[in-house]
Amino acid sequence: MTLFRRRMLESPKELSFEAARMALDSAGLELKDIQSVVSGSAPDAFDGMHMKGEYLLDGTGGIGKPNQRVYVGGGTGVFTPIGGWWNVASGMYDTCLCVAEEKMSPLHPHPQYAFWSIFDQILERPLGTTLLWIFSLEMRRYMHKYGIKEEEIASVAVKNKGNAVDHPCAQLGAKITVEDVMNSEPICWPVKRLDVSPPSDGAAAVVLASEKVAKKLTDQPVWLDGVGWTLDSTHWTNRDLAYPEYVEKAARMAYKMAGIKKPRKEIDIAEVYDPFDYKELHHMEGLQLAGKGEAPQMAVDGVTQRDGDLPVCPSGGLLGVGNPIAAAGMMKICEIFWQLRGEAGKRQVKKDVRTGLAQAWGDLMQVGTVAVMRS
Amino acid sequence: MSQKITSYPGHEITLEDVKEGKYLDVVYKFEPKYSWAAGVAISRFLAELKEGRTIARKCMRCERILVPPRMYCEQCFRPTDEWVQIKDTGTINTYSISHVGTDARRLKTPILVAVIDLDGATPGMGILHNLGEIEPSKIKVGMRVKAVWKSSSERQGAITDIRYFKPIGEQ
Amino acid sequence: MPILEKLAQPGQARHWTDSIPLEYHYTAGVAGEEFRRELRDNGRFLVSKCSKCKSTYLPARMYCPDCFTEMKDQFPIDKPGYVYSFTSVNRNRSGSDTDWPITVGLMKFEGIKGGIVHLLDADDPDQVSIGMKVTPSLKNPLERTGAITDILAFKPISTAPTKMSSGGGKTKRHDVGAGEIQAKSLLHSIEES
Repeated sequence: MTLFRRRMLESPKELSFEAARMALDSAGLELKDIQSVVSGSAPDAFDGMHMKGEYLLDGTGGIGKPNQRVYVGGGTGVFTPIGGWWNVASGMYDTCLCVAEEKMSPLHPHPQYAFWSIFDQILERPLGTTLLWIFSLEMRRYMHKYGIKEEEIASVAVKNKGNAVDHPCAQLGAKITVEDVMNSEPICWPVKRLDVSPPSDGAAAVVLASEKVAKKLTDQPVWLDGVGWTLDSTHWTNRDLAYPEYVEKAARMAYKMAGIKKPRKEIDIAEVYDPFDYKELHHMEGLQLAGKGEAPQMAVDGVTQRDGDLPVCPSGGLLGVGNPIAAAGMMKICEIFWQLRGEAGKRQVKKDVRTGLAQAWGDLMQVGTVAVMRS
Repeated sequence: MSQKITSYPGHEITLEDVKEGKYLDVVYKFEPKYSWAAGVAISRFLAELKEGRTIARKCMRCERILVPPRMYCEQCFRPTDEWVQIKDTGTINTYSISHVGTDARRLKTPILVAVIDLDGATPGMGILHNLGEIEPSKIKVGMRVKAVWKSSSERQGAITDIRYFKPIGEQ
Repeated sequence: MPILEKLAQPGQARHWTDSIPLEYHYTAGVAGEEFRRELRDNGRFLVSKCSKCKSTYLPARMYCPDCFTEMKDQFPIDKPGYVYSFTSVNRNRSGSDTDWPITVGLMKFEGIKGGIVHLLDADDPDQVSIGMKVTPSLKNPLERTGAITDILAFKPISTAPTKMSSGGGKTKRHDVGAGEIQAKSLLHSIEES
């Protein structure tokens, strides 16, 4: 993966190339060994470039090869290797390069502006909508339903930004306190500045291979054992905002495939999508890693710390490492990969890990994409 | 394998660098204009808003009364059956106080926004709208609210025909 | 099964009009920045060569798309190009007629992959032909920023100045001046829109 920063010099193609080249080098492969390419990049509106999948093509190594672009908003990062999984598990190809890239900096005055079109054009936009509204409305409902305090949620931001200090690509790794979060300016109450992940530029890539090829390349492969993805409707105001049902459905799909019956016990480590601190808790419950309303207590008790019983976001997550929309989920896949192989350096969690999970979420509170990985 | 990775690529730059002319800044502005068709359901919804009323659509199979109205029920995946007049009062499902505008610039007066479950529709069926005539710190989930409409000559058949929702009495 | 109710009269069909103003600030990229500096400072095009397959690309790129390796060998070229293809344009972006027909071409350089799409400024548009040798006419060095608009247009060699960069002085031929005004006004309208 490349560095994640607010603004990078590289053009989108160059970002993809840097990440893809790194993935090939670390796998010891050349482009000619790759049979198909899956690229993931979120709204074309950020870059202002038409048909991003096609635009990025030569940067993702896809020229002249079978190619797919997958796009489900923020869920793209985990959906990209799922797309790669379709290519390899179906038996069609033995190797697939999956690249996720995002360059958000071109849009002025702020990348968030591109999300204006997420709202219903007739019934919602005339009210002066901002993307943050959806999150703050969801956060408020979640807090109300289970009586959660802002401080409990803030502890997630403290954990993740602290974890990110040990990540070489991180944009916002820092040691902060709950008080810092509570004192940060309210952007869209209850969301405050330190509750949110930043917009970023960056790319990340992985190489997927079939069993026979993987065994030749390494004696420590990480297997993609379960995948799941679900989409919910855009009538988000008609849904129960306190519980992400779409995440649960995607998780169950992945667990069934991976043969997991008790997620809380069988998952050793999880990279849960955290564009906002409350989202990590929200998704943990959707993933069945915590009962409804119980995730905040787990966070406060330290269960989700790196030395805890269920480390969550040991990389630092989106809050700490950065949030280039599509590449962020891929960063999580990379993290689980390195953790399961014991290569995460300073971020390596204390306990022995065999089964990991990466999850991403996207769009109008809609998408859940989940991948279960095992070493 | 991953031990081969010694550094992570990427050249970071800052907005100041660009403004100082260190890097080429190609600016491109455009403003696509759209004329969106409201469709069958929302055309009726907007027509009703012009008359100062709210309307929903019922699916006979799941018996949900849907607002915003739609001509097909997305869960039963069949056409919805009839129009149902609903009220312009409701309950706050969730709310937020936004200090930023559409382009992420800071606002002087915050916008109060809420998801309001309208009376007459299936519980949990909410619409997005603004709140008004209330102190931000006093807003509570579960509060009862009523729509404040524009005058009939000002109404044009838009969601903004309702200025905002204001609290009514006690919860 | 179709929806059960339709609109009876066209007047009942409503629509909502709005626009989404967008503003983009693009970076040229790592290779793009080098290309831009060469154009701005020396009035030349930077190309990059792949050490594996020996292909050369214009404009300069960070990586070879076929070999997928970084291209570190970059150098400027200083020779004329040729017209690979061209066309005459009568409508602008919004669909209205242009004041006069504009000739646009894809200019390539011998032995180099890629090329530059730009305006062709010939005194007589009927004389433009495929394979015709051309060279760029550039803005005054003080006006150049490294953008593609530093090139005013490509001109057929017989009417162009002998050197590739326009140095500091204007050309003295009167017929070139007329074309230059046309090119400048088109560029001006593009930059303003």
